[in-house]
Amino acid sequence: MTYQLTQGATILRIADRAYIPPDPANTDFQAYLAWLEEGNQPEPAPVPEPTPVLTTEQKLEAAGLTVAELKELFGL
Amino acid sequence: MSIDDRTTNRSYKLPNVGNFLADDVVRLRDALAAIDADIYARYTKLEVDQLITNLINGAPGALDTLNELAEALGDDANFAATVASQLALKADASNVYSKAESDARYVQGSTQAEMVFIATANQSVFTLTTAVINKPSALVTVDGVVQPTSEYSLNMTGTQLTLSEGVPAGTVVRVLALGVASQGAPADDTVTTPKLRDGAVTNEKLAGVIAPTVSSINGGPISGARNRIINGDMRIDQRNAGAAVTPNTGQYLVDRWRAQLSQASKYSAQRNAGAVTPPAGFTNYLGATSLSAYTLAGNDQFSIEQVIEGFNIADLDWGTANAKPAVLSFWVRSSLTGTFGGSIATTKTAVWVMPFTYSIASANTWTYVTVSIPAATSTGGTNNDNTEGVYVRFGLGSTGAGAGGTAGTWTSAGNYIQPSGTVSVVGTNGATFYITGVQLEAGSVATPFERRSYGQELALCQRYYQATNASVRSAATAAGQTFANSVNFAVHMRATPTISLSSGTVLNSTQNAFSPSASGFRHEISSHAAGDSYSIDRTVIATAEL
Repeated sequence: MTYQLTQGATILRIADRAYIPPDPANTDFQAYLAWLEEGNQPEPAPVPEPTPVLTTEQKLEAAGLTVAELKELFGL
Repeated sequence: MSIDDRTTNRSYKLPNVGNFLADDVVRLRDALAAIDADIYARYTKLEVDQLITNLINGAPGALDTLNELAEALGDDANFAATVASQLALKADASNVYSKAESDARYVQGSTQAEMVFIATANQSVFTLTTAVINKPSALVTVDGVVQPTSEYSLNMTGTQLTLSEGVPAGTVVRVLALGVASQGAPADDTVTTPKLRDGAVTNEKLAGVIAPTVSSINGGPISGARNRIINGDMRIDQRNAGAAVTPNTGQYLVDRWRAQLSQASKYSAQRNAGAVTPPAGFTNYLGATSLSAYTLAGNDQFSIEQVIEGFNIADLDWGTANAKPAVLSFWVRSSLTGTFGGSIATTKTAVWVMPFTYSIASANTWTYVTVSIPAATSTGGTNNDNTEGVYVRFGLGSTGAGAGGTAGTWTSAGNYIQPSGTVSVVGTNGATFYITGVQLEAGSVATPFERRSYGQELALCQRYYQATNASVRSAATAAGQTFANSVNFAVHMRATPTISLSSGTVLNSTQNAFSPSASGFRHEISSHAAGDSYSIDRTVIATAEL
């Protein structure tokens, strides 16, 4: 049984992709604590992908506009 | 010459001087023979005395002659008919109380009195000095003749008796108060079923007389939630929906019932395994089937168990001086016969176990079993919160540390699944063990299985396990955007549940980690790029089992 930390408070049990809350009354969390006491370490939380820096053209494309349409909109 | 043929008065032939000697000799011989025959035929004095003695046969001197007997019968030639006619006036035995019945009917020690009246001319009303509540409580005679109850009446207070008609002057009227009933409430346990005739106690008679203040039924709740077991009739099977499983330890077989085992693949389990007819009144059962002829070794243990939440069992006060007894009841069927075992266990401060045994005498026959659980006054007690309260275990085979203890006795000597020597179901290939109608309740008498609606039972199960549908969808304008929905559980769960996803479709997004609580969770995604992003039709499994 292996676990992985998440960006949130829950712990991911990798075998069945179950998210385990840090509730002392949760038996899965109790099992996780016992697993830790045995000297095990969870895998680190995945690093979130950085939000890409968009170019002006990409921003316009996301908005559904072209450069020409933008110029026309502002009377340029 | 003719013979002088004269005889005596009794016709004995006489001799005569004029007869020839030879003729007289013959006549004398005949006479002597006749006399001898007569004497022989008659009783002697001794014989007559004996016959008289026999006739008297020890009768008392006052009644040892026919005359004395006749006088005793009143010189009545029709004595038998006279007596028969008098007997015909008496009540039939079936219409009167025997002494034992009378003793039971009338309160011992109550007032008894005899009242005698000498009637005046045509008197019919008599004032009683001791009240008689009702007619059966009195014996009335007129000149010694017992009067039927139809021949007199009593007033409301029982102090005035009125005969149906006036009696002549000098008539002796006797009223015997037999000891009046209803002299207060009868003592405990004196009113038995035979004393309550059918229909004798009506609701109308009870109304206003008995205030129904009942503190409990069988030492437990008056109504509802008597059964501390959830899904005791095995109806709810959210995980497997009736499919067979070969469980790992801790795996649930139907809702709230899980497997415990030390060796894998020794038995399978399934709701309604084998498709036999459940006991009357039930539609489902949990069946376990042995997959091999496994020989127990080491500390092997195999069982089916349910853990009762502390909130639902703490009122039994186990581990205190106020501990209440309980009773476990269930229907069980097996292809094996013999003495089976199980145990009740608590784990608050230490493991305390009460092993139990039960017998299945006939193979493949449903057997109703009740197990008394003595008040656990000196055990470690049960948790009174949302953690483990009581374990109810049905052994399928245990040995070593898993077997031991004395049936019916609480012990902390070991965590026994079942007593030593009880049946090992896993020891016989193909052996079956079916169970349903499991009920654990307060008190010492098992009551009929508590019926709950399907919706109620499902909701009880959902406190520990439930499946919820969830969807989130949005049009992202860029990558890395986050969208979320809040999803509430159908039932508030025992603890913050573990969340997993079993199905659904995800597009252009990543399912973020859940943030559950006992009442629901946030369903959240992050977009990969601009455009339609979703995680839809997801079946979210929330588990908060004990």
